Amino acid sequence: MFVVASFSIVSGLKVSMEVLSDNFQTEYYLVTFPGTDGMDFFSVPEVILDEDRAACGIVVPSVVSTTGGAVNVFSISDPDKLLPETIVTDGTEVLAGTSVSLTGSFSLTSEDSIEVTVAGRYSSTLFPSDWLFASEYVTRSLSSCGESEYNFVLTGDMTEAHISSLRDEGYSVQSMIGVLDFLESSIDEIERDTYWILAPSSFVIAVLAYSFMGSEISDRRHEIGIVKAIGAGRKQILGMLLGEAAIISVWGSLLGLALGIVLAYGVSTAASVVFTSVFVVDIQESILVLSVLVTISSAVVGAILPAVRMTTTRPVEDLREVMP
Amino acid sequence: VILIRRRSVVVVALSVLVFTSTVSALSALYEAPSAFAAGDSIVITSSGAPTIFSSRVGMDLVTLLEAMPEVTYVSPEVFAFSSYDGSSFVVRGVEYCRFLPFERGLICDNDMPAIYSVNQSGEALIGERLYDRLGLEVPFVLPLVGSYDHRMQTVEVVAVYRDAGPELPQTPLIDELIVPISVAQALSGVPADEASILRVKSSDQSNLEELLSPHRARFVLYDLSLSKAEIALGDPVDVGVFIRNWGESPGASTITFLDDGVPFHSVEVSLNGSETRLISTRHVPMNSPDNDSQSHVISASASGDFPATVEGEVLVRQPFLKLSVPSLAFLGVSFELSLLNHLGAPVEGAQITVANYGETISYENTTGESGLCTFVIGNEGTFLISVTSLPLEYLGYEVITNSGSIDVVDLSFYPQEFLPSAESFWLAPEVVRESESCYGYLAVSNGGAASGTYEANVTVDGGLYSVVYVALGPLQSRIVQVEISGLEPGTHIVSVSTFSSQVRVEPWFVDDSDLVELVVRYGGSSQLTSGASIPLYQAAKISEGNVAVALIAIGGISALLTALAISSVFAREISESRRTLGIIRSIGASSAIIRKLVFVQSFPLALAGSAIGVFAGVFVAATIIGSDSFVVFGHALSFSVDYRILALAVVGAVGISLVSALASAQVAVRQTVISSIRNLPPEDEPDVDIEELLRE
Repeated sequence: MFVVASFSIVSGLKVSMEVLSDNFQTEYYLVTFPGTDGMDFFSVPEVILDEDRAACGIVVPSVVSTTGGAVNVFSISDPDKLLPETIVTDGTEVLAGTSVSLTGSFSLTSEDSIEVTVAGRYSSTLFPSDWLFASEYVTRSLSSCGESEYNFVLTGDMTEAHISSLRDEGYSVQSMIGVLDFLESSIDEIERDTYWILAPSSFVIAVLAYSFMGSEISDRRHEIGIVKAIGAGRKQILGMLLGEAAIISVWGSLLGLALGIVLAYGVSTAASVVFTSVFVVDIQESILVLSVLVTISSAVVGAILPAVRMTTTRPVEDLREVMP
Repeated sequence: VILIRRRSVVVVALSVLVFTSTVSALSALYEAPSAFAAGDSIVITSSGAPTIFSSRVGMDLVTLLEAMPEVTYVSPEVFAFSSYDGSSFVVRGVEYCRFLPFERGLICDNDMPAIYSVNQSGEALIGERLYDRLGLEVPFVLPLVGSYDHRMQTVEVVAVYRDAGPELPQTPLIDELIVPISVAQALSGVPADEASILRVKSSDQSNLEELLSPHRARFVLYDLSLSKAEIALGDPVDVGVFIRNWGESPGASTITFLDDGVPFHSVEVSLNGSETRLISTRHVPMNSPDNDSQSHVISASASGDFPATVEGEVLVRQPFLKLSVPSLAFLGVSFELSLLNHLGAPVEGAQITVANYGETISYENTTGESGLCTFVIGNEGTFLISVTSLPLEYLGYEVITNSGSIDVVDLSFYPQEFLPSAESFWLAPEVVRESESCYGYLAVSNGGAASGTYEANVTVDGGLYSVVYVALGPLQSRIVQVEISGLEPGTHIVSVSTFSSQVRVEPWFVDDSDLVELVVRYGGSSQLTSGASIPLYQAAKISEGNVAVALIAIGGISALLTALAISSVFAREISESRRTLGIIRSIGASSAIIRKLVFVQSFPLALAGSAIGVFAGVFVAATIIGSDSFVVFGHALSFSVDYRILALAVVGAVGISLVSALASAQVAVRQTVISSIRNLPPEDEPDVDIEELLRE
C-alpha cells in the first residue's frame, strides 16, 4: 500500500507537470556550438536546414574607437521570416539599440576593424537593447568566420529527435524560454530525490513484512504439531508453510495495491484542497508489479527461517502449545 | 509481569525512523528555494509572491536599509533561469559592489585564486559546482536565454566563484551563474528599479527580522504630485502624495510637508494593512525678500521605522507672461506666436518684434484677442523674438518664452522630396487586461521639403495588424498614437519599422487568487482549456502547488504507515499476553490496575523506540542529504533539523503506542477470565509467579 501510494504520487508529480507545461511551448530554440572560449562559428547543420526554419546570426564583441568601450555587434539573416520582428540595415550602416548612446561614424574593432555609421535605432524583444545591429557584411568583416558560418542560429518547430541529434553532434540547444527547461529539470530532480527518499523506506517496510510473516508462522506451532503427528514429512511441512506464506502475501499485496491506489487518490485529493495545483496521480503498471513482487518475496524470505525451524522440532513439543 | 516485550522497541524505532527521515528530507525539498536564497542571512521578498522567483522588491529599500546602523550588508538580487548544453541552472543577478563584500567567496582563475575586478557590464562569475557540471574553461562567452519570454543575451564568464573555506557556511552560489543585475533583469523581465530579493546581514539579526516582519505596519510614500511646476508669487500649489501601509497590521504615521525643509503642514494618517490613501494639501510658497524668482523644493516625509521622503520642485516667480514660439519657420510662410498670462488667459495688445541679430531686418505685430499674432518672414536665418510693449495691466510683468529665437529656413535648400523615417516606437501600458487596449506611440519625422503621408505597417506577432498613415509637412516631426486592442491573453510582439515592443495581455481572473484556484481546480482540473489563459507566473504557482501536494501526500502516507506499524505491534503484544492478563484478572485486578500496568510498560518502550527512531531518522536524513547527491533547482540540498517535526514524531509515536496498547488491553480484559486462561497457549516468558504478582 505504501509503495503503490507513494510511488504513484511521485510519478503523478511528473505527469502533472507535463500537463501543465504542455500549455507552454517555446517557439524558438537557440543553437550554438560551444568552443574553448565560447560561441564558436559553425556551418548551419543540415538537420536544421532540411527540416526547420532558421534565422542565422553572428554576434561579435567589439571595441568602439571613439569611446574605447565594448559593445556586442550582431547581424541576423532571416530569409524564412521566422522571427516576429524585422530589423534590416545595409552596408556599413548600423542601428543602435535604445540604450546605446553612440551616434555618427566610428570604427569597430574585433579581429579586424571596420568604419560604421549609426543610421538609426532599433528596439527588439529578442535581442538586448545595448547591442548594435549591423549587416552581415560588417559582422563578417569584424570576425574571421567562413563564408557560410554563423555563431548562433534561432530555429522553430524543433522536434525532440532534432534536438537530440544536434546535442549528439556537440551543439548546445537552448529553449528560448528558460523556465520551461528549468521546471522540467527541477521536477526531474525532485522526482529522483523522492525516489531516493522512498527507497530506504520501502526496504524498512520489506523488513517489517519479513518479521511479521516469521512471527505468524511461529504462532501456528500447535497446528503444525498436529500435521506432523499425522505423518507429514519435513519437505511437506516446509512446502506447506512457504506456500501459505506466498498465498497470504499474494492476497495481502493485492489488497495493498487496491488500498494504495485508493490512498494515493485520497491523500492527493485532500492535499489539493489546500494548494493551488493541477495534480494527476499516475499509477504505473511497473510499480504495481514491482510492489507485488517485493511484498511476496519479503514475506516468503521472512517465512523461510521459522519454517525451517518448525521442521526440526518434535511433534510432542509442538502439541504442547495449546490451540488458541 | 511482562505484557509487552522489549522487541517492540525495534518496530517503533524503525517506524519512527521511516517517518522522521522521509519527512525531514521532504521538508528540505520543500524549503529548498528559500533556503538557497537566504544562506545565513535575512532575505526580504514581497509578501504574497508564490515563490522567490516571482517576488518583487523595490530597490529604494536598499538605501533605506543601508542607512540603518545595525545593517552591515545589503545585496539586491534578481533570479532568472537559463540552461546550457542540456543543464538548467539559476542565474543570479547582483550588484558586484554590494555582493562581493556580502558573500566573501573566492574568485578564481579556473583553479587558482585570483584578484578580479568584475565589472557591471556583461562579465559573469560561475559557481564552482556549475563550472564542473558544464565543463567550461574560463574565460568563456556564454549564451543565455530569457526566463519567461523569448530573449537572447551573452555574458563573458571571467572567473570561477568558489567557497571561501570550511570556516564559513557553504554558499549556494557555487551552483549558480552570477551576472550583473541588469542582465538578470533583462532576462527575467524585472524592471530596473526592482529586485527579486534583498539579502541583508545585520549585527542585530533578530531585531531586524522583527522590524521587517510583514505583520507590523510599514509605510511607504510615493508619487508626490505638484499641480504646477511654475507659479506666480502668491499663487497656491496643490501638493499630493500617496501613502501605503504595506504591513498587515493597522498603524498610524505622521506625514509632514516641507517647503525647502521648513514644515508647512503635518497630518497623522491611520491606515489598515495594505491600504493606500492620497493625502493632499494646498500651499502658497513665499520667496525670500531679495528673490523675485526662487525654486522651492516641496517634500513630504513619513515617520516610522523606515522614514521616507519624496520631493518635487516648483518655481515661484513674480507674475509673468508666457510667449510660445515655434522652433522652425519657413521662408515666406506665415507662422503664429502666442502670449498668455500666468493664469493661462490670452494677452491682447502686446507688441512683439522679430528681428535678426544685427537688427537690420525686423518685423512687428500686435497680439489679438486670442493672444496670437502672425508673422511672415522673407529672409533666412535666426531671428530673435522680443515683446517690446505690454498693455497697461501687464506692465512690469516678466515674459518667459520656450525659445527666444526662431530659425527661418529656405525649403529650396532641402531635398524636394518626402523623406519620412521612424525615430522610435513604444507601447504603453506594457501590461493590459483582456479586452483592454494598449497604445503604440510612433515618432516619425520628415527630413525633406516636400509634404507627404508616411505609411507604417503595424504587425502583431509577425502578422499585419493595421496600417498607420501619418501626414507630415516639410521637415515636420510627429508622434502618432495607434490603438491596439482585441488581443488574446498572452504575450504579443508589436513591431513597426525596425522597432519592436512587447505587450502582455492578462486574463481578468489573474488578480483574484481565489478565482484562480477555482478556475484551476474546477474549470480545468487536469486540462486547462486555454494555454494562454494561465500566465507563466501562475504556472509557477501551480507547479509549486503540485510539488507541495506530492510532498505533503507522501508525508501523510508515511505518517499513516508509521501509525499502522506501531499500533499493530502494540496490539499484537497485548494480544499475545491475553493469558497473563486473564491470570491477573482472575486474582482480582481491576481494569484500572491493568490499564496502569499496560501504561507503565508501554510508555517507556514507546518513548525509547521513538527517541531511537528520531535520532536514527535524523542521522539517516542528514547522511543522505549531506552526500550532495540530492539536487533541486540546480542546488545541492541542505539539511536542517525541524524540531517541530521531531517533536511531532515522538509525541505521535508515543501517543499511538499508548492508545493501541490500552485499547487492546481493554478489549482483552472484557473476555471472561476462564476463556482467556484456558484457550491461550503459555507465552514464551517464564511462568507467572503468583506470589510476586500479588505483591505487585
